[in-house]
Amino acid sequence: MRMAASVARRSRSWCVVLACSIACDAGWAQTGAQVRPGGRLDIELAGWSPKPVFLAKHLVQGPTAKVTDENNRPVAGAVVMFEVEPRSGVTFTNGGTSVTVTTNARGEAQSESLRLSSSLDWLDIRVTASHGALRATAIAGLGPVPFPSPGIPGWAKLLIAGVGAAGGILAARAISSENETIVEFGPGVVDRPRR
Amino acid sequence: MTSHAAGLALLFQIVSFPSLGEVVGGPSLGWVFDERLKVFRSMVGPVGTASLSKAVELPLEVLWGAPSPRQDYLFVLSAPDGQAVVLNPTTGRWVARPVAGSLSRPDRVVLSPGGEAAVLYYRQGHKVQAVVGLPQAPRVSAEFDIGGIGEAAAELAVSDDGAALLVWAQEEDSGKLFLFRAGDAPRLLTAMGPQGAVSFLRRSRDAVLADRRRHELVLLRDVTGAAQRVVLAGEAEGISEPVAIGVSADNQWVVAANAGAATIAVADLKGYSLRLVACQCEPTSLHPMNRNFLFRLVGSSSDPVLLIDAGGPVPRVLVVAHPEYEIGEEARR
Repeated sequence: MRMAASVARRSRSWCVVLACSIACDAGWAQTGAQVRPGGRLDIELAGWSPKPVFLAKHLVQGPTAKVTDENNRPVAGAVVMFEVEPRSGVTFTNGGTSVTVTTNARGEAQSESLRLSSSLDWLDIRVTASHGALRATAIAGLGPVPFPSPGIPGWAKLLIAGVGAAGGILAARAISSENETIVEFGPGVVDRPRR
Repeated sequence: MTSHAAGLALLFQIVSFPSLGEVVGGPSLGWVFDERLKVFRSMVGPVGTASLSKAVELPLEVLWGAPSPRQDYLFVLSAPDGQAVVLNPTTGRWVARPVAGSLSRPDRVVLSPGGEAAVLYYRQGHKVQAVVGLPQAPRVSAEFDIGGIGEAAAELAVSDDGAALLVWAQEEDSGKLFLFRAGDAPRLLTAMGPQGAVSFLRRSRDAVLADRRRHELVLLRDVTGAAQRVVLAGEAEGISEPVAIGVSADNQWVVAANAGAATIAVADLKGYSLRLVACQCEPTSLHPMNRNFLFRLVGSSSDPVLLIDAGGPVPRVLVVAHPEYEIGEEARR
């Protein structure tokens, strides 16, 4: 009996679902049914690869978006926004996490370069093109991106070499003064002779 | 069985069984696997008034099963050892073909969009076996060690030629999509949310994915090449926590189930249109049926069997009649 009541409840519930479904369908039909307007934009990230191209230390090349219409013709004057997640620690060279570029006659928009602050496992660059009521979004992935270690300036290298050489000479003198044989392997590196 | 087929059966040591069921030879809309009772039922009748049959008699006991996307065979794990077996309906009989080289008891089986390949996932050993030759000569063609990419594979997809494998690796609070190909190192394709769904298009290297956290449907063009990603639809267009995704047989449409809004989204893969329809259900997965735009929607256990008919100008959600529904669980079988 309990089972029958449960089934009856469920049956009623699904009658409501069907009615709603039909009502929703009717609504769609009246409102044109489609969320997206007619026509379309397409974005091609020509030549883009997740492998980073370093333009300078901490500076990676951004993507180029080519915007075309439904007939594969380039769309000039489309507004293309390139965005990275704010928490990624990456900015464009303008210092922000987004940059907006208008497509040229070839339908192309080149992003500014990306400035890194640390190494990255993966970064998504969201590319959104808008033209009139039309809109399209593509995602350019980048990663993994190693963070180049800071280089050692030339004067510091000379200083290190000088200190090392001086240390070696001092060590050699100290050992020589004890009347022992010295075998040198390099500045500051000595091997005590066998007795 | 014809003498030619019988000869083939002997040649490949295939065991054929006489069928005791009444629907061998192809139901009109396809099969449905009843997870609770471990039986298949056929879905018969016109789309609008479809109903489920009694359990189909099979030649072996089944632990788990799934019909192929084209509804031309059943992929099952047989009792008691969980051996992967392909059941082909022929005239009046089922022909059972074990998957050569497969390990027993996979934790998950995923069929390719056209049903020409499959993958078997073994969580314990972080191993995936790719199966090709479906349905006539199923065999393992490659084995992948996916242990290096994360704790667990949240989702898997395999291309129809069985040569490209997508693994959605779940991490603590995020996910990553990797491409595996035999002989190549795994390649990171994208970082994503921790949950969602992914599928190749039929006979294609393009794939679609539903990102539950980002509320997006994304097309991946040429995953073995440039792997460019195009957002088909997002939250502003009604995508809300998508959990399941399917592709029409003609590769023109993608259907996604939105758990967040209890709706079904039907998006044109060329990007022209997106349509939404309320399902008032808790969707968990979508399965293609024997029509181009027809999918079975799996929801919570209390939901009835639902069909999504995405072929008309307006998508429809249809309830499938179950003749034994009122009788009670004990009598269903």
